[in-house]
Parts: sequence; C-alpha cells; structure tokens
Amino acid sequence: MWLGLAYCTGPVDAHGYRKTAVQSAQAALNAVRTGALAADAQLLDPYASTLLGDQLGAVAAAQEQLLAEPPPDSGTRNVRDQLLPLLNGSAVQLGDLAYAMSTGDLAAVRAHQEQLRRLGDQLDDFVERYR
Amino acid sequence: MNELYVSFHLLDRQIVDRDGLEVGKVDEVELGIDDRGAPYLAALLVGPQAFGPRISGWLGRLLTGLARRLRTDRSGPLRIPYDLVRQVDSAVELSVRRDLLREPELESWLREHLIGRIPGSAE
Amino acid sequence: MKKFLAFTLGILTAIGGFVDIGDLVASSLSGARFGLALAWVLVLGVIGICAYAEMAGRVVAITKRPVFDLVRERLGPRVALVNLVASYLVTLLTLAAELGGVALAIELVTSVSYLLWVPVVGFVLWVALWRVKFETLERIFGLLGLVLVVFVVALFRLPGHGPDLWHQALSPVPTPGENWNTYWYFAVSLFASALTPYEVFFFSSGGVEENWGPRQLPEMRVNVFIGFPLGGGLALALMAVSAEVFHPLDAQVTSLGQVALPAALALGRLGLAVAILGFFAATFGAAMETGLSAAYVVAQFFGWPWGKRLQPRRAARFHTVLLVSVLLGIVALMTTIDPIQLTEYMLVFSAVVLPLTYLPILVVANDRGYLGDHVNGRLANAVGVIFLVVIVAAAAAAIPLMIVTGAGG
Repeated sequence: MWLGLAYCTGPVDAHGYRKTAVQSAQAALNAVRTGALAADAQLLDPYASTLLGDQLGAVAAAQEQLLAEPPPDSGTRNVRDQLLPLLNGSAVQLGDLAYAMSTGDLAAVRAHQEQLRRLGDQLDDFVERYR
Repeated sequence: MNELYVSFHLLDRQIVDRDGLEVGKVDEVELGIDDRGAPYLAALLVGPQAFGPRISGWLGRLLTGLARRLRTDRSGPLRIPYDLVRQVDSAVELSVRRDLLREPELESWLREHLIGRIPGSAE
Repeated sequence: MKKFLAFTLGILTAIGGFVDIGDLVASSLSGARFGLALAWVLVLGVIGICAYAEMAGRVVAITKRPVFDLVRERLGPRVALVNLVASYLVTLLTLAAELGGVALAIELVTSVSYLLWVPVVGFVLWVALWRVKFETLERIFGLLGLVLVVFVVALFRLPGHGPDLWHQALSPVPTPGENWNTYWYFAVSLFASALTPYEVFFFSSGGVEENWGPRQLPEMRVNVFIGFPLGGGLALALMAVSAEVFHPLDAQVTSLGQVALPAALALGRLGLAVAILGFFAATFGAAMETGLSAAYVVAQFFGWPWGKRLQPRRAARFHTVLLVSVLLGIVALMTTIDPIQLTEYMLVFSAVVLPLTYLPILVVANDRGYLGDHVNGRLANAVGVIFLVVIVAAAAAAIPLMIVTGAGG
C-alpha cells in the first residue's frame, strides 16, 4: 500500500499530465462559452458581474491547475505551450467583456464575444485532440 | 410466559400521555417477581441510562457513560409503573398527564439555560 | 368550492415545493453534459418518490405517527441507531447545501460574496422556523417556488431544437465524448435528487404537524400523484433548457449563475429575475424542510416531544437539535467549500443512504398491526419492491462511480 501511495504522489507521468491539461482546457471552454452566451443576453448588473466573475475564477483555477506540475517530457511541454496562450487569452477576453458590459459599450461587447467564440473553438479542438 | 413476551414486545415503543403528548420510548422494561415466583411487568424505564446498555459495543457504553455523568441526582432512568398504562396499541398510552412524571433532566436543563431564554419560547 | 380551492392550493404548494438545490444542480448539470439522454432517470425518480410518499403519507394518516417514529420499534434499537446517524448526517449535509444555494441566489442579485450571506441566511432561517407557523411557511415557499415555471416558458421561447431534444430523450446512452461511468454517475445523482431522504421525513412528520387523519387520504394522494410529477416537470424543464443552451457548445454547468442563464437568454432581465427568485424560494423552502427534518429524526428516535405544533418550551431538546443543526450547516459552508460541489457530494451520500430510508417505509406500510386494512395493495408492493431493488443498486454503485469518475470530472 505504501508503494501504491508513493506511486500516486510522485511526479506526474505524460498520461497524467495530458489528463490534467484536458481538464484545464474543459474548464476554460465552459467559461468562454458561458461568457460568449452571456454577451447575447440582457442581464441584471449584479448577475452579470457575478457570473463573469465566476467564469474568470474558473479560468484562473484552470491556469493554476495546468502550471502546478512541470511537464515531464518534450511532448507534454508542447501540450502546455499550446494550451497556455489559450488560457491566458480566455482570462483577458472574459475580463474585458465584463468591463465592456458594465460600461454598456456594445461594439466592444461584440468584439470580445467574437474573440471568446474563437477561443472556444480552439479549446474545443484541444480537448478533442488530447481527450 | 405470555406476559414476558408482551413485555419485550413493548420495547422501543413510543409512550404518550393521556393528551397524546410524547413522553419517551420504552427504553427498557423492569420485571418483578410476584409471590408465586412468576415474573410480571413492573415498570417501563425511559432514558439514556436504560437505553445505553441495550446497544452493544462502544456506542452503547458511550451513551450510558455520558448519561450517567450528566445527571446530577444519579437517580437512574425515568420509571413509569406499569399500572399507569391505560392501553397499548400503536403507542403505549398512559392514564396520566406528562407533567405528573419526572421531567427528563436534559429537557429541563435545555429549557432553563437555552430554549427558555430565547424570546418567544412560550408561543 | 372551498374544498376545491384547498385541493388546488395543496397541489400548487406541492409543485412549487418539489424542487431543491439537489434538483437544480443535478438536472442542469446532466442537461449540459448529456442533453436529455438522462431524462428517463428523472421520470423514474419521480415515480419512486410518488410511490413511497404515498405509503409514508398513508402511514401518518392512519397511525398519526411519522414513519421514522416507527423505525425503532420495527427494526430494533441497534439498526435504528445506525439509521439515525446516517439519516441525520445526510440531512445535515443537505441542509448545508440548501443554505449554500440560498446564499448563492442572493449573491446573484447583489454581487456580494455568498460567504457573507451564509450566516445571515442561517439566522433568518432559524428565526423563521422559531416564529412562523408551519402551514404558513409551507404555503409561502411552496407557492413562490412555482415561479420556476419560467423555465418551462423559456424552453418554448428558446430557438427550438425540439426534434433533437426528443431524439436525445429517447436514446438513453452517453452522448459522443462521454463514457458510461460518467453517464451512470450522473444517473445516480439525478435519481438521488428526486428521492433525497429528508423529503419523506418531512412529508410524514408534516402530516402530524398538520393533523392528518384518514379523511385527509384523498387530498394527500392528489398532492402526491399530481403535485409531485408536475414538480418533477419543473426539474425536467431545467434539464431541457440546459440541454438546449449548454450541451451543443460542449459547455458544462458549474455554477448557479449558469443555471439561470437560459432564462435570461430566452426572456431577458425579467426572466432572469424570476428565475433567481425561483432559486431563492426553492432553496430557502428546502432549507426549512431539511432543518426541521434533521431535528425530527433525532427527536423521533429518542421519543422526545417534537414539532412546531408545540411551544418551544415544551420541546426544548427538539429545538436545541434544530438550532445546533443550523449552526453546523453554517459552519460547514464557512469552510469555503464550493456549494455546488457540496451539493454533488450530498447527492452521492444520499444515494448511499437511500435503502436505510426507504426499506423501513415498505416494511411499515405492509404491517397490518399499524395500518389494518390500509396496508399496501399488490400494485403498491410491486412498485415498492422494484424501486427498492433500484435503490439498492444505486446505493452500491454511488461511491465507486464517484471515485472512478472523480465526481463527474
């Protein structure tokens, strides 16, 4: 049993890392899709800020989850390098969307919504590729 | 023998007073021996000190020990003489009101120190 | 005429009071992950709770005592004590989850962190339970919960994918990209959300609070057989709107805010406000029910005087357990565990405890000593036994599925 525990708490292997990466990507995917949907709806201000705040928190958690362990080999390093910009972009776009919605800047809302949709497609591709 | 069976059949049954208010469960029965040497049902016992010993193992010992430690008068479980029982169907119905019986200490203590102190407790 | 109004009021209260945080979470999460492929589980769960609630209601109406009260004499003190501990702990967990749901709903309209609301909500809950009459509480929150019908309206207002949804509902298999383990994990959670233990404790104890007798049997049956399924329909609507909005995008639901989003998309600010009001009513009402249920089961096991129908002074132990339970619920939430995750765990543990709750009901409902001629007929027993098998299967599978799927992750 001790050996089993030692195995579980040791450094992640490539398979484990990819699994973590997929979970992070899925979490970010949920967030950007929700953000893009929210941009289409008429919302109450407190609700919008809570909702987008939650999504931003989810992306931040996904980033932390991805970066918690160093990638064990070059293949997984590649995986991380693909995903990280997507996560960062998601965080930026969600934050900017929240700001645009709070100031009522419709053009900016549309622009950020489009970016979020694009990020969503890329994250969806990532999840499909490494699931 | 039949009476003994009936006694144990009463165990864990709800006891209510003549107004239908809950008094407790039949946590234990007290048997007596009559002049002919036959056992009869003398009283119903209510309270954690009666109940604890019926649970085997550490949980039972814990319950009994806790109950004994918390009582200040050390008088044992509530004892209801069987002649106060009017009838037995889905519950054991007494012929007296609850107020005439000794109130469980936990109930008095909680009423005095906690529940009774909160405004509106008499409504 | 007056009787008709009373009947209608009863049904409406039953419909509005059916949904709680477990239903909100299980239905919308399942809808987002699997479309309507798990709709059949909800239907199954509703049939189960109808069958067993009717039995429990019948026991109360005839014996004037709630089922849990009879468990100790029927199963013996040792088994009943295990039952008590498990039932109390799960009900406490449910109380914490409901309190969390109320706090989250308030956060959605104030954007003040839910953690700050938890103690406030807990306090208000306790005061309501202390001062307000049982029937008043039931009526208000039952009727207010009816506003969740906004999700039925939203379902029809969203750009429809009717044929797709229907097709999903008829093919009960994991959707592309999901595996069977996750499918069954969500199935167990959904099933547990319809049959959460506190529901029967509350239903049967409520029968004593409201003084049911044999004359209330028809009314009770109408509430159960019409009210509960319609209430389940509200949960189904939640699953369907989630399936419409989130599933096609591969997006999962992880927060209460997301659960409300389809209402906003379909009906704008008004729909959103109504949806959040519905969440508040459903979770606050359920918080009251679970708080009372936690105290009911302890008091009924030990034989203490219990119930809101008594002066608190005459039921000090009961009210102490109630107070302590609400406090423990607040403490559990102040550990900052995510209330949605807490709800998911609550559903898994409820599933495990289900046999302990439902087997005694089946046993007591068949006991001529308690019910005389009102014992279960052949249909009630057939349905009861089938469901007991399903319940045992769900209970056995719950924890393994949770471990294997990482709680649905």
